[in-house]
Amino acid sequence: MADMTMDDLGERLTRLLRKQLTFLAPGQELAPEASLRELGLNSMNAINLLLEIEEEFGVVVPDELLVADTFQNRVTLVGVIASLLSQAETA
Amino acid sequence: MTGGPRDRLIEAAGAVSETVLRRWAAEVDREGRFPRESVAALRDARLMGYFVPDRFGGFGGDLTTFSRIAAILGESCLSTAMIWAMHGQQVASLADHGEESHGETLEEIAREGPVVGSVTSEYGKGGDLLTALAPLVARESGYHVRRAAPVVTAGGEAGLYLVTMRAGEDKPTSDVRLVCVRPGDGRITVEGGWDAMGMRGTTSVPMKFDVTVACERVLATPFRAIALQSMIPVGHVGWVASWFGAARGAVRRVIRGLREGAAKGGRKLGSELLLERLAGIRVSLDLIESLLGRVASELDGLRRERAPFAAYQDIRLNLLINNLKVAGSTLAFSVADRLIELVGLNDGYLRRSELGLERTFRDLRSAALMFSNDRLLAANGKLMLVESSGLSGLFG
Repeated sequence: MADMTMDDLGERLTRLLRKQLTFLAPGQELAPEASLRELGLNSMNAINLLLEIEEEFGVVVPDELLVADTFQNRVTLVGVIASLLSQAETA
Repeated sequence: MTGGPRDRLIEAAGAVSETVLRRWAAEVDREGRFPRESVAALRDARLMGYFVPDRFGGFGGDLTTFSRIAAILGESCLSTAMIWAMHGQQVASLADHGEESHGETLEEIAREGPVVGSVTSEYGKGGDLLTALAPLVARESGYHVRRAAPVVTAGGEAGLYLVTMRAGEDKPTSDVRLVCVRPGDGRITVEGGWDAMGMRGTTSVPMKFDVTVACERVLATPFRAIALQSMIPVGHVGWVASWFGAARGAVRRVIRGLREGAAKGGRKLGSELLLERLAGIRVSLDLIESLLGRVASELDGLRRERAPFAAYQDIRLNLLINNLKVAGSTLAFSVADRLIELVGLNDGYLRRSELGLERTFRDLRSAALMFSNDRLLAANGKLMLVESSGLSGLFG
């Protein structure tokens, strides 16, 4: 986390999200609390998103965090990634 | 013999298969033409309304019996079996997701048995079933449906079509709707032929649609749900059952040929090599049948209890359905291949051989290519990486 601000994290995540949120138009802003499901996240592209997040941030999201709460919106995802990153740092 | 409606339908399918389908299969293959006599016989046996709910005059059938019938048809003519299975896949999709608003159409299918064609292929989108490029365009009188399709099975012979379209000009390619199109809706043209290695009777031709339909012809359920809940599961069960039937039929013909040959003082049946090869082929047949029965029974359970869409998104179930298709296609083809090895050049490789193995071999070569195994395996690999999580149940 030391080298990465929350803004950086949010920006990198937004880039990954844009690829999977099929109902989000190219120029359309992704509001922090917009429902990812309503923007087109489904079971298959959620898997793509998860695998990309794990590669981009170098973390493994444990099964117990692969729940609806995690994938609600960008804010909830940022929270989970930040927490996993900080755990990795203190480990 | 219990003599229930299910048994009677299976018996009727058996009679049609052994007489009409067997009579015309070789000619249909040779000429690469639609098996009109065979499909007419299915119609007469009331098999075209198999998935139409009984209150609309159909049979309201389950997947287990569907797979048994498809296999019986596949024994004699795989092209006819595949046309029937794909028709069933379309009718099930319409019955599951459009029941009330499409009641009259379902009644017509039960009564008159038009072939319902599947129009999901599209130039430029690859093989992805769940996307569509051409958009529905709203007009005063309904929706304009204008698009081309490179492959429509029995397209020139269909009396109804279910067509995938992008939900609108401003909608993404993943927002897809299924539209019921009739020949009288506008211009529907066959744009070319089907000169294929096998499955020649399916006459899977390129087509163009330029029609306008009333709003209620567009099914309200998003296509993704229709595909995951009905079209893909019913399709995979129907296809694999047809392939299994073709392989089983070929094995039966070979065994009859071997025994007749031996009785006439020809090839001895005591050869260990021959017996081992034969037994190995049976292992493959049993593997397909067992997986087919398991998937059909699991899906029947979900359909009986009217399980919610989430149940059909379960990762384990999707891995299983995909594996049914991958395993069924691979094993059925390998059975045909090994039978040719077993009986040799004269009885196996020549077109004039009465065993008809070279036709079955050519037909079954298509199995891995339809809804490509490569694509399914790539999807399954991805699903396996997250199988331990509850990820799949989260999304509608």
